[in-house]
Amino acid sequence: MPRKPTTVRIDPLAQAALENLSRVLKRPMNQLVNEAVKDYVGRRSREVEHDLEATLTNLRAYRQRDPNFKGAIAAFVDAEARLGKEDPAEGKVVIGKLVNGQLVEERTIEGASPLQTEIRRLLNAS
Amino acid sequence: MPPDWDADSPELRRNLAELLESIKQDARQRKQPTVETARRWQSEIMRNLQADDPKYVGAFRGEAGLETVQVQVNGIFGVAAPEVADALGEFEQRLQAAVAYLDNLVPTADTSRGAGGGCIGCGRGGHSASRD
Repeated sequence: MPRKPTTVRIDPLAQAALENLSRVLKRPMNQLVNEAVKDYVGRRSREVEHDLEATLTNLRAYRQRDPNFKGAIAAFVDAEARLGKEDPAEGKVVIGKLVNGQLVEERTIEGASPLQTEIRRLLNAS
Repeated sequence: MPPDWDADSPELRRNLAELLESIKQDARQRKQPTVETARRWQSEIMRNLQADDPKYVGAFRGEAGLETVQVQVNGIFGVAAPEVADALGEFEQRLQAAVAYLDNLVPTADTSRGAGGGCIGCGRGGHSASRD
């Protein structure tokens, strides 16, 4: 496979060290860089592969631990039953009509308070 | 007298456990979640429990007898009762699209889909659907 020229920016200190190494070893910098990159990619690839395998093993173990979701269901039921009453996202019921985002109580809309409505109902009934 | 719907009781725990089991089965069969599914979940959770008002059970706000029932969460009003039906229709479409997307990602035989389908849909909303 033909080699492709690639532009990379090397830290000045690393660049100086590379130049020194090149002089001492009497080997071109290009060769040293290729060798270093090859070493690094091989080592890191093995590490990443190992990490991925460990993650997969953990995921498989997790699934095998609760394959039928018994534990998950039990935990959900317990949380819902025990903590549900204090759930801050639980709605509070209010009775009335919403007009432009504001609650308008029945009595305002109908022009009479609940007591007045009840008295009228009783009067009408009699 | 039945326990209060919002209290920790053996009845509530039994209802939730039975419902979650049935949701798990439905999810494995790839049953499409609907608004009516949520209605059924709420009725089943409330079985043998004392509701604030029996008409809240298995019902959505805005339906007959619940035309002026509003809901507040942290002081903010939810959708006005007369608009709940339309909002639920839109929600159902979005929910079904999301579930279909996930169904395509997870093979049918993969049991992990069961818990996901169950737990996402059967949250606090299932317990208090009449208030949402």
